[in-house]
Amino acid sequence: MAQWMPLEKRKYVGKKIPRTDGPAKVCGTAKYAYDIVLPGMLYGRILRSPHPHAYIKNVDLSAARKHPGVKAMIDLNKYTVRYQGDEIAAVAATSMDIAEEALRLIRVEYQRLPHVATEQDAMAENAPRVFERGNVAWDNAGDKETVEKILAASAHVVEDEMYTQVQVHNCLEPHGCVALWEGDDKLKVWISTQAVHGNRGDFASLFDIPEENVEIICEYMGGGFGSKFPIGVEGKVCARLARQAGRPVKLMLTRKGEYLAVGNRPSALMHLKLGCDSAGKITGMWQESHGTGGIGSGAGMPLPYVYHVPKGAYYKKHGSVRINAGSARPQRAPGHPQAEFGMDIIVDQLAYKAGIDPVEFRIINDPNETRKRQYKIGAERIGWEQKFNKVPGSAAGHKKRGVGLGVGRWGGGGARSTKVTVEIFPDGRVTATTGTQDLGSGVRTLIHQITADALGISMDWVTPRIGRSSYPPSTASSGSITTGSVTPAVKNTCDSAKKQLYEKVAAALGVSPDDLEGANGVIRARSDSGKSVKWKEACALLQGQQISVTDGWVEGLSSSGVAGVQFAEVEVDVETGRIKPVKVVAVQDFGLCINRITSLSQINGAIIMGLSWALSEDRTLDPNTGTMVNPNMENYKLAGTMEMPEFDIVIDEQPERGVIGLGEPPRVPTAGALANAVYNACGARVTRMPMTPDVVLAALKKGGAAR
Amino acid sequence: MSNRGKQDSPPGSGINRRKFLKGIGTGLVGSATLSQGILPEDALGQTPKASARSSDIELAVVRLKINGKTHTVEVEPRAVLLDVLREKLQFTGAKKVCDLGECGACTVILNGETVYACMMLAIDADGASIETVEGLGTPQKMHPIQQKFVEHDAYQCGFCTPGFEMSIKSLIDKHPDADLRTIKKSLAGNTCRCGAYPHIFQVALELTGKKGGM
Repeated sequence: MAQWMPLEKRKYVGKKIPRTDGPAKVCGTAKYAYDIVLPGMLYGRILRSPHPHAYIKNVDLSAARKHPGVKAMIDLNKYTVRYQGDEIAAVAATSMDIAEEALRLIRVEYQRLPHVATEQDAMAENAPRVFERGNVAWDNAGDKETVEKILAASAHVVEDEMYTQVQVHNCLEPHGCVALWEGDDKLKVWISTQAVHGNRGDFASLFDIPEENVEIICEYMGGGFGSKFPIGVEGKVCARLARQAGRPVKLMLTRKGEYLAVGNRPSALMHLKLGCDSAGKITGMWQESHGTGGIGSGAGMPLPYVYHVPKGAYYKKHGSVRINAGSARPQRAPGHPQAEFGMDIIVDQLAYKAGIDPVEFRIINDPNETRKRQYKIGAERIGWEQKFNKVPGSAAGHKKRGVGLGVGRWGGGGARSTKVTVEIFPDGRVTATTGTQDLGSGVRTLIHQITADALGISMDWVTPRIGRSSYPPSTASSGSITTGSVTPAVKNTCDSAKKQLYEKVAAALGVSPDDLEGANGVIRARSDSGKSVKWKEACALLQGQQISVTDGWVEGLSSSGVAGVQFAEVEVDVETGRIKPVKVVAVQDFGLCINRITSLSQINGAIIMGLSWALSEDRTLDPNTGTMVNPNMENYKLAGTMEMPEFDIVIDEQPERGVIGLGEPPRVPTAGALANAVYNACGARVTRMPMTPDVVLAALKKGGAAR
Repeated sequence: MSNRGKQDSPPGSGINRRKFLKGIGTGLVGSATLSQGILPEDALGQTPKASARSSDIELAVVRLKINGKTHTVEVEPRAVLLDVLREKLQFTGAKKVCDLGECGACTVILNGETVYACMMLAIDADGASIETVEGLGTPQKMHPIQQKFVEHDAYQCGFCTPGFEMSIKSLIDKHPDADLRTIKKSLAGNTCRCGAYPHIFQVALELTGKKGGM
């Protein structure tokens, strides 16, 4: 089985290596899809429904078509719109302003239909239907009566209702692309995407042209978080407009379009009961819950989360509810943060009720050996012993501090289909090429580091190349599998290319190829260290012909399944209800760490996305009009510089397991850790997100340290 | 969230003027519409009050001194500075994210003050001296701010980065010894969705010589 290079051969792997594309990003020379400007390029805009539910009786494009500067128009021929923001028509014009004007000249006759904008409304009897098949899909497990009997016989039982709201991805670069037709059947697209190769297929099938005639380019992209897999209506429309106009078209969504139409994390309302025996062992779990992903599905969550609930002692009734709102899309660890929030709060409540320290209670009930160890590391780092309030809310003053914790797990893994081409040129330069995309994880840099170490040369010789569909196929960046897919394929392909080079070197040195090893830019014989050749001289032996090897993913260099815990310290002002996050400690396992600084960025960023969700973000719909009241970055509150706590990240490395993706796992534990810290600080259970001051004050009114 | 954008507000009443002029271009001008404060996209699906007549708009000649070099460009009076920089002159370092002065990704320095380029008309920048990220340094010869961003991995996707750099440039020009609290307040008008804030703070702290200030 394949193996990573031994520790002494890792000059770059496992180190803090600045990003290869850092200088381009900081100097403004990195070109994102939005930055592409082509000669004669038009600007596309999409007309969206202002209504949450309506029949479209007529779309009249005639006035818009006559508008000076308008070069192409599309009527999407919809009969029904099911959410505010649903696409109706599109235009391309010589400027963005003219395109927007033209949208306003399109006359649409709507027949309004009754809508549902809340889960409660959608679940009511005789509720208006989002689709004909009904609004709720039920998912049941276990036997309610059995579980209720188990709970009745348990030493301790707790019950509560937890709610997590809809979160919008908010990628800073909007969805969209620039489409350029080169003749009737060749299409070039610069697109902000998480799936370079997948998008090639999407465009090819849309226009029924050969896949090799579509070139997707995504050298840089401004964030995805799970919302940028399909080419979307915006991609389809952009390429259609370009074809109609015979000119390139740039169509990037407006921020409002981002909020309404390109994905979100579903909500979850979880009514939970949990019991344990007198030793603190969980005996059974009862769950009735629902959530909504708008007109989309996928509002489930993996409960019971992490902690062991005995077989047969779990009952679930969960409803995926459809409402008239934009569809959910995968978002950074789909389902897991919702499940974590519900589970970690109810577990925390049970720990207090049973009189067992919450950390100890988790060690008792968590079967995962890695996390069992991590609890102790995290407790030490946050200062649990000193900071944990045995009586929550008992500290003096109105600004009260407390600590809490949450957990996370994730899969990861790698795609066997991943291919990489490594070329070694006679002048010593090396390229490592694959059609993956760098969402900000730093995969371009990882390829660079691994190639250099696998060949035993300086990174200066190596150019990593990514972000084109003409490059060898790479998987979509979903499920935190990019690193687990790409890096083993890079290592393996480097080994294959090295073998070819070493055959030439061996012949020149008069030794066997197996006798050779490379390090620090020198290839030498193990049996006779006098026999050596510098990298540049070795490559010169290629005599004008480069080595070009395409190879793929191999087993043994990656695995899946990671564990993490986070501890939070917060300060709650019981007079104003404001929560100030003070410190977050994350202990995260992800196998072999390739780059120590980009990994830190991943973990910091995931925590911040969780903190922002927990404390302030909220996609707010007005139930009466079915429209979003805060589709902008002023009123959709993202945590910013002023909300940042102190961070303490522990990379809990298990290098023997190989690489495992890190994008999603640390996104999971934060909200539960914060909520539990809030309880420990003020003695009030905040079970509803976002945990804004009004929500905190309401919880304090019910109990705790309110005055 | 509280102090967001204060530091970076464009001079004058740019926001209203931009809204107003965009309104003229769309034929939506009229006291009723303006008093409702309708923004272009909010008007989607509504019946236009008059026909749009963008072709009648007389172009204005605007001189912009960008990173020391003067560019003369013909623009519609309603053209927003950010669009002119990005789409006409191809200074694409400043990014368009919110297009409403909420995120700071389009921050440039205009006559020594940071502004949101998305909130300012190009005609209002006529004759101004503008610094963009392209003027800070090149990949071969980076500005110290840029070197620190790379060293500390103060980004992930990189889309907010140029805006943060310009805000930090302005901060250290004005408050060369700023502490963490000042840094946080000064950068509150910039948003990073990847969550690079801790590393961005490190960049600013090292530039202000407050290395241990975290």
